[in-house]
Amino acid sequence: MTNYPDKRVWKNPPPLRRGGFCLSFQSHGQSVNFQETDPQAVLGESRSAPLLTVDSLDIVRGGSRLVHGVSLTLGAGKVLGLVGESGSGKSLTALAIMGLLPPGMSQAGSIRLQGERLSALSDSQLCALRGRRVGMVFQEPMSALNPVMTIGAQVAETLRCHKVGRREAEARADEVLTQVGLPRDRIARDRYPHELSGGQRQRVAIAAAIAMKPHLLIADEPTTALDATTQLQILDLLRSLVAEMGMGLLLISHDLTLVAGMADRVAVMQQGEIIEQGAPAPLFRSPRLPYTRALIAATSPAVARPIAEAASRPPLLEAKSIICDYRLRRPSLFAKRPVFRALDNVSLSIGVGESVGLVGESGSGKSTLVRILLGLARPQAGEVRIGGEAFSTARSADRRRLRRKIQVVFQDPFGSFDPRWRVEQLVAEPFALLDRMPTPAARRAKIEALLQEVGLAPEDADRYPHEFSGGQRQRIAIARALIIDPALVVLDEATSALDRSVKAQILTLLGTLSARYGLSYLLVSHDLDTVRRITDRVLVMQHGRIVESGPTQQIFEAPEQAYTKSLLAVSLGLESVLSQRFGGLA
Amino acid sequence: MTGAKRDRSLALGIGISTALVAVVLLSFVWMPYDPTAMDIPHRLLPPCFAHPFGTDPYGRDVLSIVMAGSRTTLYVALSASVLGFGVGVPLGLIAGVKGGLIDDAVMRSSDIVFAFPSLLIAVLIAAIGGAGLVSTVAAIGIFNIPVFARVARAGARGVWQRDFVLAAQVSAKTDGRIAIEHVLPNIAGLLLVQGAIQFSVAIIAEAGLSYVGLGIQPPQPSWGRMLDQAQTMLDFAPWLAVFPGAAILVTVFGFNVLGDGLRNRLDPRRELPSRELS
Repeated sequence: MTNYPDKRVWKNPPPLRRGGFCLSFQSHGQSVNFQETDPQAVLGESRSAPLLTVDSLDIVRGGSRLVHGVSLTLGAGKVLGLVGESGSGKSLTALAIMGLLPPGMSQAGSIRLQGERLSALSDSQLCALRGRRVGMVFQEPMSALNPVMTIGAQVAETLRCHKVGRREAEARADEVLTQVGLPRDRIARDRYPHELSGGQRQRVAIAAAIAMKPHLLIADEPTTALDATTQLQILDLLRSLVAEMGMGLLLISHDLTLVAGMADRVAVMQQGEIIEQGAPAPLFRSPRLPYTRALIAATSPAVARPIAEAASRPPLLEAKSIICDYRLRRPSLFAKRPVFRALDNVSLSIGVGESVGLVGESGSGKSTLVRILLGLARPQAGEVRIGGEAFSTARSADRRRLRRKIQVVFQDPFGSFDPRWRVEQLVAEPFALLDRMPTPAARRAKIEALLQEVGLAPEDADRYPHEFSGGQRQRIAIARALIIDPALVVLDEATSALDRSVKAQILTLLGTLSARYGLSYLLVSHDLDTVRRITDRVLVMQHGRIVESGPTQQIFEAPEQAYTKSLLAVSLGLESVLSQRFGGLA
Repeated sequence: MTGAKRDRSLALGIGISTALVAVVLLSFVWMPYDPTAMDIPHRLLPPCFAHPFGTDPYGRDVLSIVMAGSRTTLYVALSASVLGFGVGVPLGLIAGVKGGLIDDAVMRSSDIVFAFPSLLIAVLIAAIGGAGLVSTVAAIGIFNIPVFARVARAGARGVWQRDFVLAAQVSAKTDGRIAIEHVLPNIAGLLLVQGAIQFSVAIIAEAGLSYVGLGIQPPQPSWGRMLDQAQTMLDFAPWLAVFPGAAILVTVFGFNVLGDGLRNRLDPRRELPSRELS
């Protein structure tokens, strides 16, 4: 084996293509026992064999086959996209490659990394392989990072696990953090994950995954938890890492557009099987199977609603010159607490029966604005008026009365219900706003009627929230919002956590309800596709200001601000992504 | 830990604590002898058929004294836990829900109480009100307050982050109402576990205080004081120390195991990881 001194391996990686890189890397440390026991087999094959070969992989739990006959190949420097709805077995396949299947599941078939069968490795060898030769990035960066470790220590720890010295690990961590776009002068190494934004956290997670320069990187929905512009940046980063380091990338996503823009090859999974596989352009343009066609149809750009006469509507909710500051933590004991302006002179108005979209990346002030509109926080200056009456400065009896007009549906269908309450109690909670509680019989009748209206059964009132799926829970949340006949429902990322097909159903339901009751919606979302489907007007927020507003169609077709354009760039249709990469239709 | 093992510790804990309650109830209706009746001719008898736990220097039946002492133990542990719970939990909820200055005030006062050893509190209280049952309960109870306050505050802060609290606020429910309707039921498990642990801590504390003479005063029987009296006679009458000592040991062990079992049963994080798979 070639023996590069450690420092040289880090500082000047030899040409990253295939063999040379493998050699230098595997010679590093003493813990690499499996290469040393059988170096010929590994090195001999790694030159010719593809990076990753999965051959007829089966994953079984109990008597049921969760993944069946999955075969994949991935070469170095290539991107393989694995798409399918949730529950199709994408993540299980990835976990099997890492050797991390949950207990109770067993696998059959072969997985070869650089020609070497993973099933032949012992647990400790597998462990050495993770991180060293295979890195993984998960969906939710906050839970993948240890909240009590600084980011520098976090990345260095993955190196220390592989017997890299402390100094060296720290130096390498610093280097790799810079590589993922977190230079030391902008993001100090002693900061904690909660001090970073979602995109920055995902960058740290990526840095930890690539710190050992793995040959294969598995990214499981790496951008699903991020907002639109951050998504683009993270994808760019992954793309450049693949090009620079010659890694193979297994990209798992339910988002076809994203995969179309990244992958060299795409595999479509349904119910544990790969049903279609090929290069993205032909596969997406002329899918063979109805399932793939249906998946693709769901991504087609939404048709905007016709522009309604905005001027003719009396305003239902108005916000005038709202200013909201947060006081941050003291940087030192005697320093003044710095102030962060979350909302800077924000004004908006929502008419009766009007649907307004509020878009912007996370940290742009959307959530703060929603809290103020809902009366959960008071602005430092400015005023919220509901139906012409002052809300944010009203006395508590008046506030209670005005509150009946606004209800809310939250993003997380799991967190927005008290797990110990029955659906009946949950849906009945807003009755607390009424001066006189209806009789139990009247309450029950209203709840059952409403549950039916949102597509659930009356008996569901007696069940607990954990008995329902994500989509059903959002239906319960909608029922809770509608129980006291509000005029405006704030949908705070209400469909973001749902699958595509479920999301479409919920949007249809919202459309029906709005037509029937003349409801107004304020749709807060980073999912521009959803915004386009159900809103009349769009407000674009950035840095606590509304930077652009106008009818939905106009904003989507002719955005004026550069920021809006960059937001829209992410929600390009599938076909436009394909034409950008592979040229127009022949 | 496997599921079966978990359930075993819970069952053991429930068994021992039920046995303690049973002994206490039995002591009200039947004891082998009157625990205060002296019988000098039969003093210092080793365990025998008539006196299974032997007799003390005054000829009193040790089994009867241990049974009568169990009343004291249960009474002190229960009252001290209720006192700690009743004051600590509301304080913790207020601190966790309101945050800011109130939080700081409650938590820093907790730290101050924590900084005093419970023995010192007992000495202080005994100095003011005289040693005895009430002072013992007060000393242990006051020590329990910050423990419950901390647990309640930590739990409340966790629950307060959840969206369902926002939903309740949108329904214009007051913080107090949300704390009772939503927060308390969601941290009940945590508090129950802490309750079982504090119960066993209180038993040890009572025994300790009585042993040094600051706790239960004669003629009221107490396991801790029995140990104190037994120590000079350890050479020739070991049963005087062995049986009350074993009673303390078993009871404390039982409530600790109960707390562990409850925690394992109630804390979902202790379950095997069940991944969300896509």
